[in-house]
Amino acid sequence: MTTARAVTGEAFSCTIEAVTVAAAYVEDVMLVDRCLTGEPAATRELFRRHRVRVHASLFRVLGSNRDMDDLLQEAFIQVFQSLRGWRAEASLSTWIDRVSVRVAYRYLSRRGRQVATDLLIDDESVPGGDLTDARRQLARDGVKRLYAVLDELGAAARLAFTLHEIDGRPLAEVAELVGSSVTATKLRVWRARKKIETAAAADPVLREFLAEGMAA
Amino acid sequence: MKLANKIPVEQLDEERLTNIERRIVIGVSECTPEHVPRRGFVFAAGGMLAVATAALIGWKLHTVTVVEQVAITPQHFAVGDGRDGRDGVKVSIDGATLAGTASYDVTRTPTRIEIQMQRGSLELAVIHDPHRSLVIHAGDTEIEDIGTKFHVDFDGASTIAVRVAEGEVQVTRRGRVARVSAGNAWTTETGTVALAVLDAPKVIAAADPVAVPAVTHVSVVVRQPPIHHVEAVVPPHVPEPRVVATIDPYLELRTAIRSVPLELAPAIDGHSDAATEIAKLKKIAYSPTTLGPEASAATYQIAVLLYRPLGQDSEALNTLEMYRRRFAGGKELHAAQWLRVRIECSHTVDEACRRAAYSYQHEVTSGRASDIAIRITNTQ
Repeated sequence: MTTARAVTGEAFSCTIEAVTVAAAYVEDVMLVDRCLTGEPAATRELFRRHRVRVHASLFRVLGSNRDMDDLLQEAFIQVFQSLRGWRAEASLSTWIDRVSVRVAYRYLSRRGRQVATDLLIDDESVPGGDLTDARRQLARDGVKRLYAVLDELGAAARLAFTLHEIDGRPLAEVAELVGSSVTATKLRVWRARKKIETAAAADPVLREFLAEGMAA
Repeated sequence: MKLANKIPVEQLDEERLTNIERRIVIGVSECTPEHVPRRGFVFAAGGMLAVATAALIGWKLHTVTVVEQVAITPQHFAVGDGRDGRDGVKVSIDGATLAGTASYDVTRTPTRIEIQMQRGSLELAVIHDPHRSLVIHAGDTEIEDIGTKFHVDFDGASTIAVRVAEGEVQVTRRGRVARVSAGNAWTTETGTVALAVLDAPKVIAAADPVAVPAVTHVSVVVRQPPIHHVEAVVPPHVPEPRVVATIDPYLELRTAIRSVPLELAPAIDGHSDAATEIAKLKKIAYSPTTLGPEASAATYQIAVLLYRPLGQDSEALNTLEMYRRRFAGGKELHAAQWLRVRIECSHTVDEACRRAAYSYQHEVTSGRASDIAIRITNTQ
């Protein structure tokens, strides 16, 4: 009886989820249609719906808000310019993520491998309100050093690593976003990880930061 | 290696997001097509385009001179008051807008527009076209525009006055050439003279108080009896007031403003170079894919070139306003604000000039320009 109820409950929640997804899909299609007619209110609405997610992804890839205004602008301008090409096969958010990843890729390629990370994270923004000052400082320094190592990676490897390890996306999704095979993506992530581990071996702060991460 | 959610995202503040949103909406509206033409309309549009192209080629091949008589309703108003050609008052001829109380003939060829003024007053706003010159003949004087807004008065005989609001005109009379730039005027009597001097209210000198007594006493003695002593009162002689000087109280201040060089100005010589450069810069500034710093630099440089050498002050101010709205934190913001001060204060120190200076002094708190801005703000 209990099992039957659980199954019914699961089916019900699946149905709700499906309906929600379908509603979101219809809403996206309608919003895109409005954008295509050049309606400024629709443009604003689409930007507001997706800006937080796109910004978070770009921030995790780049490690700072430097040039973020230009990148966000460029990403969304490209989204709007290519909106006619969205065939509603993938969800709108996945498609927008793909466009923004391409923008980030171009930016990283243009910038080259340079050590230019200047993290602007303030103490307050580091999670864990119960952290001691020393641990908070360690977190800040660790993040800085991690991105300093990432600055030395190529654009593709950096994207694969940051999207998978830091943004927490599955490998298959990352592969789809960067437009390569899962195997190639996996290899890039592995190489980046090796590089970071090598750097961590020589850098106690980075090592401790990564160990904290492992512990967490 | 578990780093997910370990690296916090520093949120952008609302102001930055609003700026980005605004730029996106502008960028999208610039590149969104008005409508998608349907297939049926494409053929019609193609046909019309072919006809128009053939007509254009025919027109280019045959440089026929067209002479037309334009009669203007005697009604005086300033250019830019919102009227258009539909009421028959303002006339547009290939990039030039004419208005005023004059009657004139227009002779037009593909490379030249000639206006033969009989008499009257004419306001012109001309968009500079390096491939087409616009020349006005008034009596024995020839006035050639170099992309500008100006005003011509001709009494039909020999007195001509040209007032240049923006840009530059070249006046030729009896073999002598004078170039009159914005803020200046040229008359047959004075030659080139500052507009402020020509149009300024004349300062009347008070006559010498000793030479003009309040009452003149004249004594008259009549010798016939009975003898009377008559005292007559004669109204005092008041000499005609005479003009002794025209005063620009802010001359020193305006000289000081001009002495501060414009920062980050592009090195350009000549009008055609400037026009070409502006066309290039516009592509950078208005492209939706251009990054902020490049676009802001291009926008500022457009404003500088419109101001000098083109002398299109109002266009330059519009561009600066656009700069302010699009690039609130731009690298050239202070330079742009100073350029606004310079343009607003170029003719006189008025309310607009003081407002520009006030904005500047609040942004830039030290330096020579800031000191001048404070002095401008303090004028009344």
